[in-house]
Amino acid sequence: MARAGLSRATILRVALSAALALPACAVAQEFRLRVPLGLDERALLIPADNPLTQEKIDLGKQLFFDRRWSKTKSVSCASCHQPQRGWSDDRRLSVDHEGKPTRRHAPTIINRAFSTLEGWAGHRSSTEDLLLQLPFTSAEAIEGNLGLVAGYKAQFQRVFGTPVTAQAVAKAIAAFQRTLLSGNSAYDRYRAGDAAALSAAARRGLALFEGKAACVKCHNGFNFSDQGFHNTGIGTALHNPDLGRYEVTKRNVNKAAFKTPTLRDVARRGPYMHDGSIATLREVVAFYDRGGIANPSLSPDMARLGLSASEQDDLVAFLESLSGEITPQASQQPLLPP
Amino acid sequence: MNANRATLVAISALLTAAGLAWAADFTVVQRSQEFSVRDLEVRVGDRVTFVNGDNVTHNVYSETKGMEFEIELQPPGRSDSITFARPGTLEVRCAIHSGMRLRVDVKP
Repeated sequence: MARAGLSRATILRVALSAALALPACAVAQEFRLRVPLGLDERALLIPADNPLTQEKIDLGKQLFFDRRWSKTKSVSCASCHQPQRGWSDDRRLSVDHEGKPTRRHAPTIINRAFSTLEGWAGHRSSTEDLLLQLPFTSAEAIEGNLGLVAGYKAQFQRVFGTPVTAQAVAKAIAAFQRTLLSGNSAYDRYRAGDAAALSAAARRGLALFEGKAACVKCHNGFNFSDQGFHNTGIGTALHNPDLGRYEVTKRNVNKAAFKTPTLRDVARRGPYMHDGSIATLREVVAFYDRGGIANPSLSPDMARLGLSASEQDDLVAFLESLSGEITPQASQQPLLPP
Repeated sequence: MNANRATLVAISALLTAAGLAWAADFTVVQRSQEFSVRDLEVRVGDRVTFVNGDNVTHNVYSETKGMEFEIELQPPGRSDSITFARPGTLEVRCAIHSGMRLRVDVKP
């Protein structure tokens, strides 16, 4: 990734664009993402065809909070990915643009810059791809609704050198989303050498997480996710269960399997699981202690854990230590062009 | 010595001509939810053994057209072998862990 400072090449491009009167987007300066403690900068996945720039991120943030690009002008990304709820939804199931419940709970969108498969079933291969196929909007709605907003018309010309298009909206929002990085949690400070950063209960919980409870089998790496798809039994007792990853791959091992979510900021969100069926972290821990729900495709890696009540409390204390810091400005409602 | 070597070369050439050249064995270990190599070059008839060196279950497969295979659920510690019968390049993945990828180039 390019550094934020002006390089000789950038100075040359600015001078050339001034001389040749190129559109401003041609000289947009690349944005250097500040990666908080505990996250691995080398693992960032920024698509070559959608580099980060400050202006694009600002535009993406406005669009993220703007309801006008949905078909009914009634929902925005922030309707289900609420900053104050860990960028997730406090409702069990999110609601679509017609007020009807969707079939899955809104996953958090923090730290998505570290992986590509999107959604609980990994049905989209990039954030841009996901945004282009959201059911609550369409290319017609985007171009028809936002294309009339004078402020946006000018911004899209400045950032992309184009009118308002669905592709450009997807790129701008994806750029903003990639800046939502959560790190520098109490756990990260503990790992960095601050022994006092974790309570005794959280330290015991960490030992259980990596040992007896074996949570790290799936919630591993600096982002606490193997990016894998596992059947824990959630929802399988229904008459027509959600088949999850199987809908994408048609492989039996993927039946009712869903993506391992990051555990960073997990205490800030809830309800939990792909269908929002478990209300609290303590209940989630108890669910895993029971070994999930038996069904023909239950992951062989699920097993009864035999945790005592106090051990389960310690695990929750550890999970609470994963609440990190996100740039406060990201959460503030932006001014939208009239 | 030279005579022995010439004899070995001659036998090898005869076996090759008869399609009986020795097949080679390769081992790919799955550890930390990655394959131990990203790229592997083998020849038709060679055997590749996939070893689950992780503490989690894997499901190694390839859906490259004409070269499909699937090991299905492979618990920790188990090994399974695949012999490649035709030349080509295939992508090997794990159906559970989406980040695991291996490219196998099967030479004639």
